[in-house]
Amino acid sequence: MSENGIVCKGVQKKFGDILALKGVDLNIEKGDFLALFGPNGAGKTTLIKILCGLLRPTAGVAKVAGHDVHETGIRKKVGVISHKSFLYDDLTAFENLKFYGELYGELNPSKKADNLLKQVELFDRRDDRAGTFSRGMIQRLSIARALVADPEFIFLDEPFTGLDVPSATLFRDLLKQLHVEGKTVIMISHDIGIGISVSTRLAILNGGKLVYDAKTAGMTTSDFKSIYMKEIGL
Amino acid sequence: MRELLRETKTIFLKDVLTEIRSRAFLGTTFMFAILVIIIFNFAFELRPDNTPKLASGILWIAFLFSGTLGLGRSFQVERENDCINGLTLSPVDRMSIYWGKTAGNITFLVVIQIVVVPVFIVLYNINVMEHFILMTTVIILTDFGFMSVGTLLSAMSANLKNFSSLSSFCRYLFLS
Repeated sequence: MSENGIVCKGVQKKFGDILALKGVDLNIEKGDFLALFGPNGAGKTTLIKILCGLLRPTAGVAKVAGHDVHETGIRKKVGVISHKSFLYDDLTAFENLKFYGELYGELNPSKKADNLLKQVELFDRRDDRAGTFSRGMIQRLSIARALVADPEFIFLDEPFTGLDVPSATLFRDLLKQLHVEGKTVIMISHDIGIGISVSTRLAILNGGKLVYDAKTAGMTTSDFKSIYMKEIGL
Repeated sequence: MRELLRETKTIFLKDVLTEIRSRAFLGTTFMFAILVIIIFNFAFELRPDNTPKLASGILWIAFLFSGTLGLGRSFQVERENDCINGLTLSPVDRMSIYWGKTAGNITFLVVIQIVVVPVFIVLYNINVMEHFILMTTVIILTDFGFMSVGTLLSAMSANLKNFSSLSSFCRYLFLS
């Protein structure tokens, strides 16, 4: 069991009578890049929400770097990209990043915001309000927001949704770079090709259970597609 | 303590900036407060003998109802794009989120009162100069109490579907 990575032991989550997660066991080493697949309603987003501290598990334990995910100290080490952007429409791209930089205790939030805007190629829209951005630009700005504290752990919930081809390429390169830098990443995706190209591990969640978990090395898109279809019962 | 103040200031300044741009709080509440004062001015048969008794109540109705409206709008901004999750996921003390939002809401209510009170004085022909300092102190203290409770309840009910009506109900329950 990794004390530096991410550990889930028997994680269950109930919403009323519905058991969204039925005892998930997961052990992710520091520096791993896990691509998590599964059909809609499998519990992928619920698992990510538990790992980043937005939800509390009904039963079981979820730890990041050996700490309970609800501890304030661990939040600085975690970056999240969700379905929603967490961005204020009435603030500019720069102001949004500067605000989050200040919340995360960055020493020079303005410089950090400018650097991140350059990294996601939005510097020319620095002073435009986030509310005027396209879906793809919002997604890129969300990525910058998630990286504002230079987190060690990054949770991505379908980050490629709404990205055009250049933005998706830019984002894929960025993910590869983050992995090279030693970040631990969990990414939910429906795109098997992208998942295989960036990850070191592949997992499938179905009906609230982890039904597949293996290394990516040597896996081809068509092989994994067959495994995926079999595991979700198609 | 220093960290708490820094985080509170960051959230307060963010709220001020978003308010300047969106006028989410001031836009709706200002018109509402003015309308309440004008409507009551026509609704009651105001005479020199009953005006002082009725006017104070009307003023407080205008402040409390418009404040309630503003509190709802204040958290609406945080609900859009799930910004509230962005705040709760950040490593800031929950108290600084609360105090930052409370400070912002008090400031916006005071801004409304600065405009509404002179309109009220003119329409109701009330002489407030005699007790100006006392009145100002009472208003500021009430703003603090109202917004402290109101912000807490709005935050608690921010993720509920019927959050606006529920938090309004609880707010008045606590205030009474």
